[in-house]
Amino acid sequence: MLSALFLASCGSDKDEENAAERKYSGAFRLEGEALNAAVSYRSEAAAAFYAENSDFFKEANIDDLPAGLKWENGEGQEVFASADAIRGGEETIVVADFPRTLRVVGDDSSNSFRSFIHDDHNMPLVKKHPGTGQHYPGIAREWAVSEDKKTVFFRIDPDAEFSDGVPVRANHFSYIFYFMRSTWINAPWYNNWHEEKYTHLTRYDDLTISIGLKDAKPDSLRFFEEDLFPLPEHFYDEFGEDFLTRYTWRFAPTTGPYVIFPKDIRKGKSITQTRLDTWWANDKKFWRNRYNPDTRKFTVIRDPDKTAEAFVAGDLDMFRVRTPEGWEDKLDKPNVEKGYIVRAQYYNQTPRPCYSLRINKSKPLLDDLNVRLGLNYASDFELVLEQFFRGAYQRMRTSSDGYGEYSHPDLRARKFSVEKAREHFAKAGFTKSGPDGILMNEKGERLSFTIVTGYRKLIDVLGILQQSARKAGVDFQIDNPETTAAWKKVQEKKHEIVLSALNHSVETYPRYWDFWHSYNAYKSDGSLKPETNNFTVSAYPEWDELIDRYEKSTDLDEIKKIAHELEGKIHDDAAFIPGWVRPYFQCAYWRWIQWPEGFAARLAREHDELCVHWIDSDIKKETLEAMKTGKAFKKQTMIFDRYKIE
Amino acid sequence: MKGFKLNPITVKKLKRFRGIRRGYYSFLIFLFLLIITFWGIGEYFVNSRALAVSYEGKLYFPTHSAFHPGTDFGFDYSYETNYRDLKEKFAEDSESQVENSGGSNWVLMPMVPFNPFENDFIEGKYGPQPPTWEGKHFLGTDNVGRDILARLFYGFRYAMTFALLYMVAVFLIGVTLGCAMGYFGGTFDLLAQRVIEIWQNIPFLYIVIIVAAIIRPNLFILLLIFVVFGWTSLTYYMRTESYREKSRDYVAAARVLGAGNWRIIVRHILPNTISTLVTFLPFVVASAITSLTALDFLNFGLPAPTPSWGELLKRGVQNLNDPWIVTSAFSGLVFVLTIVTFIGEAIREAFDPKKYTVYR
Repeated sequence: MLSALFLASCGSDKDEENAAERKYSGAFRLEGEALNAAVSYRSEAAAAFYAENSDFFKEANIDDLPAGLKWENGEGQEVFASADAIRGGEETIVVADFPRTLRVVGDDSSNSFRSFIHDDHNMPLVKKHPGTGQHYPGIAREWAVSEDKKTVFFRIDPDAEFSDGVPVRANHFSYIFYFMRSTWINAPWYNNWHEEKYTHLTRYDDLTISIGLKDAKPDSLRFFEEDLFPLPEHFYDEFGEDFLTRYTWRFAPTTGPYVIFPKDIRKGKSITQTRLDTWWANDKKFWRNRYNPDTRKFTVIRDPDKTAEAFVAGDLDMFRVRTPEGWEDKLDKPNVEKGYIVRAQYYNQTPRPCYSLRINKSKPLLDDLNVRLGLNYASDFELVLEQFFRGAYQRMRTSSDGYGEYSHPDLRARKFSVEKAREHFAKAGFTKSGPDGILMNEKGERLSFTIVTGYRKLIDVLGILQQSARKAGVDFQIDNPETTAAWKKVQEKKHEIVLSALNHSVETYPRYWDFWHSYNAYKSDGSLKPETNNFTVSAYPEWDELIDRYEKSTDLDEIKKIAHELEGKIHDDAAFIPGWVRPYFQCAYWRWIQWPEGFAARLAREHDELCVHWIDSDIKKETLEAMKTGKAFKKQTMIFDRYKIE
Repeated sequence: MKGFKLNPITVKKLKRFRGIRRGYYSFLIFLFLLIITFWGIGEYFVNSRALAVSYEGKLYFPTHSAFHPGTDFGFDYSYETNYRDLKEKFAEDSESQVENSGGSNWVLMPMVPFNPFENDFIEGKYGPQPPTWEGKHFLGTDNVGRDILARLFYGFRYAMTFALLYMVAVFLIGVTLGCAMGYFGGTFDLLAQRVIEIWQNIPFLYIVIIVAAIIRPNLFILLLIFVVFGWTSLTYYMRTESYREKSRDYVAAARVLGAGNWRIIVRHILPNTISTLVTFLPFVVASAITSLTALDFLNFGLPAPTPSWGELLKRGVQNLNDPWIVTSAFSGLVFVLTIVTFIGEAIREAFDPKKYTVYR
């Protein structure tokens, strides 16, 4: 009797546990009572927060919508997925480290796994079309930008729902601003972003909202393509001080196609995602035929060299090739020769990280334009490109390549030339050769400069530059402290020349203020300003004036004009020696992975970003059998150069 | 140090060392390597500059002279002459029988005609190149076309300079302080011991990492750090030795005869402790080489592009597909450490006090 009771109580405990597990895993679809509760749930704390900040969270009537809004829905743009795509199969993907949480904010959340559960696989209001650069619908069915470009109106797709079955409504957007501004998430950047960038959220009805932006920008929609993912308020009903620990391993309901069941998290080993059969966007124009594998298994391989081995051995379906050596040496394997593995190279047109030399003009000798011009000609990046990068990369042209029409159309980096370099050095007074062949001026100062870099892997590049610069009579010393120390040194402007790559901007046009405005060069007392990215210490009033105008402008034509003008000035100033760009992405995949006809799209950054590939199980079977019998296929290297810029 | 005469027993020990063939020959090989790689001498064996050039009846010896621009030898560039090109040019000239002095020009290149920094790229070929006899890259090149043998050769020079200077410094400090501790004893001994104990607990590797982060280390800064944290171990041996010797009758006798502290230490105690000290020599050298290699391997050692064995090893590990890099570095390291160990073994055997002590 007792034992029966015990068992019974145990059973009900189990049920409760299951219910809780289902509630706090967005992978399960809620039903009946639980679903109703979730749909109608409103957080009291959030409501109080809304009331407190009534100038931000506004309520309005649907009739209050401004008249004359131009609603857009991205129709008319081409679809980039393939109608031939087949759903199904299991894909194995590598991650460098096992994620330490499934949260997408807070401690440990910015790991490499995040993009697979959030960035590329969750749905924002609108998404940028990888072909046109315009937008296509995500959670929003339609959108409209106000005249002053400071408010954007959205009509939420009535079909949109979270993976647990709760439909996406206006409150899920209000909740973002409560949640992301909370100190409980311990993410100051997010706190700041959601406080600073947006001015109001107006709810017209459950499916219509408008969001205000602090600054008028020509590309206002940018603030909605990678931010403001609707948050499942009901899932966060235990949101509190202990959020970071309580929600570490809870998978939040997603509006995207893949979910993670608790049983599929094998801590430290692997995580498996499962495709939702009934994903709400399955038949939406721009989302159809994407996210095709049924399951995606993530395994951890920490060493990048080992990743290549694992891929070639068949443990991974696809492999991201990062270097020319990776493309040639690491894939120089029988499985590639026999055609089981295909290599693909896709020329894209995205902003490039600008690997370049930046000259600190506040240092002696380097304030002389002729010395800088000489250094431009004395830096043999052509040799680096040819030998170190095996002819696989291109010379960078300007400080902001890859921004389409916003990049300067015809400026080119100065090519290595001993004569021209020596000519400019002579103009600067460096005419005598020392006993070691390094040029000197009348005062006996040598043309010797130290190049700092925090990149260990680029030491050989500097070695080549050093050796070839000797021909032009310049001595380059190489300083390679540990990364943070190097970064600090450069930020404090203690360098002479730095080899670095700064992040490209998130806008569709380049950024100049950070790198070229005098505000970031000197403090008001005339001393050098630390902690800024103006590594060339550029401070010219006319540049400032242009940059200020550029920053304020909402007119894309004006922006383009100023960008070109500035780029010309930067070129003439010669403090920026353009390095190299990688004009494509490369990958390798087993031949059963299939792609749409054009492989990817113009603005795609990586092969797996758009998730348009699929697994053909027949070809997989055929390939595996061929491998057993030793039958070879034709070796394939696919080059897609439709968007190559000569 | 006037008056420091080798103890006859020590002389005997040295003779015995010569008798231990393996150690003795290792010593000779080691000495040979040291000499040919020595500063100023190594350049005659491995260098991109020619040993001698005869051009239009004039002789040039570029190895240690100021640089000769290409224009000096009929090239049209004003940077340093590429002597390998010059050699080819002269060869072509003599073949085409240019009637003027062309035929009498010649260039004598060193055995390995590359310096350890230059990138000898081969058009159309990428990555590390395997060893070739015709290309004169006897051990191949690394991924940026630098000659492995040249880097090994000059890497050895740096490693040995480092190790020998380290040894001298550590012995100087260790012996002086250890001797003083053992001989004077008392409060000084007590204090010095405590200081050493504390000192030994400072994590040496962290210090190197921190220093490497702040300043750009060079051979002498690294040496300084190594010495500052490396001298302690020897003091204890020396302290014990002099403590023991101090209580011997001959020291008392010397003192009775009126010898001062200096004379007693230098003339009596040191010669009698030398056997212990000498045994440590090779091992200190070996540990210095391995430490420097390890630091270079971890990127905290000599600044790039200084040739170094640790860097070469790392490069080899990163390019396992091109085995000549790692093989060269590894064999080189093993070879040197082995002969140093053989020398050490022989010294230990030759200087074994049990064999010669008068106090049986």
